[in-house]
Amino acid sequence: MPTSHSPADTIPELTVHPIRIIPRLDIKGPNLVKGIHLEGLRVLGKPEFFSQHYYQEGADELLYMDVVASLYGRNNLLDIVKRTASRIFVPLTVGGGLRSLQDIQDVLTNGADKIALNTAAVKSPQIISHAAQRFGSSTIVVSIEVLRTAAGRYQVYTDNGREPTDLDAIEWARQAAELGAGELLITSIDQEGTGKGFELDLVRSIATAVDIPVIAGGGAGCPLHVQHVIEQAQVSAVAIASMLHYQAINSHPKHFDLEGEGNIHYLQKQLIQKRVVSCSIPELKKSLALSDISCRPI
Amino acid sequence: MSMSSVQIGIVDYGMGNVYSILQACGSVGADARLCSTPLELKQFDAIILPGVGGFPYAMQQLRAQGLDVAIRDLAVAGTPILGICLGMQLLFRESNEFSLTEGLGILPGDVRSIRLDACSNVPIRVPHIGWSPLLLSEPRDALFVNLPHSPYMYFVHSYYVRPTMDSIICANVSYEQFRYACAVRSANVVGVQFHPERSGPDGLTIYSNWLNEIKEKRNG
Repeated sequence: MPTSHSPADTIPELTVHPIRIIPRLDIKGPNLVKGIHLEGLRVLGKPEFFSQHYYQEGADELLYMDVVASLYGRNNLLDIVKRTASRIFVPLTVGGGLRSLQDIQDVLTNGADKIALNTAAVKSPQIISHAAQRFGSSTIVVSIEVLRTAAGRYQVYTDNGREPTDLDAIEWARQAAELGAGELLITSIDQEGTGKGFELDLVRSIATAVDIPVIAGGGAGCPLHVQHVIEQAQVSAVAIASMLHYQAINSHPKHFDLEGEGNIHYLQKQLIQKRVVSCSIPELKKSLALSDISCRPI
Repeated sequence: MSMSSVQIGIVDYGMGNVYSILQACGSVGADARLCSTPLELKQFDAIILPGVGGFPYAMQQLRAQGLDVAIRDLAVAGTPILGICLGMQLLFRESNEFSLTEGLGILPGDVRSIRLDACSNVPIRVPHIGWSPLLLSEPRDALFVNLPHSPYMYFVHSYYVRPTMDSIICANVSYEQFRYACAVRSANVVGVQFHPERSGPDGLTIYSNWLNEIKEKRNG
């Protein structure tokens, strides 16, 4: 194949593709929320505020998940997507409650770059191939929420971790990739919101079973957890919520005083989440660089 | 139409992240609008051909709206044209995505599968999704002035272009040690495989550089 023979050839080429750091913003109505095991949601503030903060900090992408996903709230979500996409110039993935090709089209028209499917894909896997044909594989992320059973099996859940299915997570991941998913987002419900670290075995099993990029989610409590999942589970990207949200809140105390909204008093009093080390994106990337993990420089 | 602001037409054929592109154009001071007919297309100072999705369906849509002929005519007439992602691929002669499909044929070369051509010992993950540093050709193309030595840009694609002439390549990229062209220019026609509108401030600089080029052409 042709290459240009120029001084550019002397630039050392990256042998490893940079890992993407993706702040995950769970959205309920107009608010950014955060739960534990995808439950017990607490309001943290406005998603637009957080997305702007993360864009400026050097986030590689943003992920919006509508965790209630009611039809009633759909227009509200589209407004948030539109406002976000007009101010941040990194990719935005939107998921939660997308049921049809029309739903997908609506979200993309309002500025999303990729969409995430979970419940609709489990109910009718063909939506993955139809969406991939219509919008391109690389636009379709299949989100897989997983709970470990007592027997040690990985069971797929839908409806934001509320409904169990008969599907085995690794088998389902393979099928989703074959149907044309461009990427998989794996969320361990066991670990989600706990700050105890990623479910390494689950993520690794899926990442080695497919040849599309895998995003690890659920459990990041400190930079070391992020380092471990990258080094040990072959992931292409990491989705992080609490660690980054708490840092965003701490770095703008006045904003949250003035806004007078968001249930952040419990955060300030450190009533929960003692396990989670708050960390900015630059701090996280710097920490990963010390372990020779490559990220986009800020 | 004001005399000062540059009028950019974004080809609207139902495929592509046109909202983000509109915002990026707006943020660098261009007046951008969607256009979906050959007649409208001729009224602009410059044209962006966006595109996300499959090559065959995209060509079918362009043909159905008569836009394929209109874009070719503008390319010949010297109108600045920027193809982004699939929009860049469409500028080439043909693609083997799904089935062999004829493209716009404005640039020499074809579009091929990363997975089929990478022939790596280690299985390569496709699509190529994420931020990769550009390997800029020297001398630097006007698109890439005022940028770092190897600016990082956001890629999301499974197919890549294989120009038949090295001279049109202004940047390459290396993904999992597979190297290919990711920015091309032939006079007024430029194409980028990555998404400058999703590549942060450095990506917006590329929009700004292109805008300056259009202004210079219009004033000169």
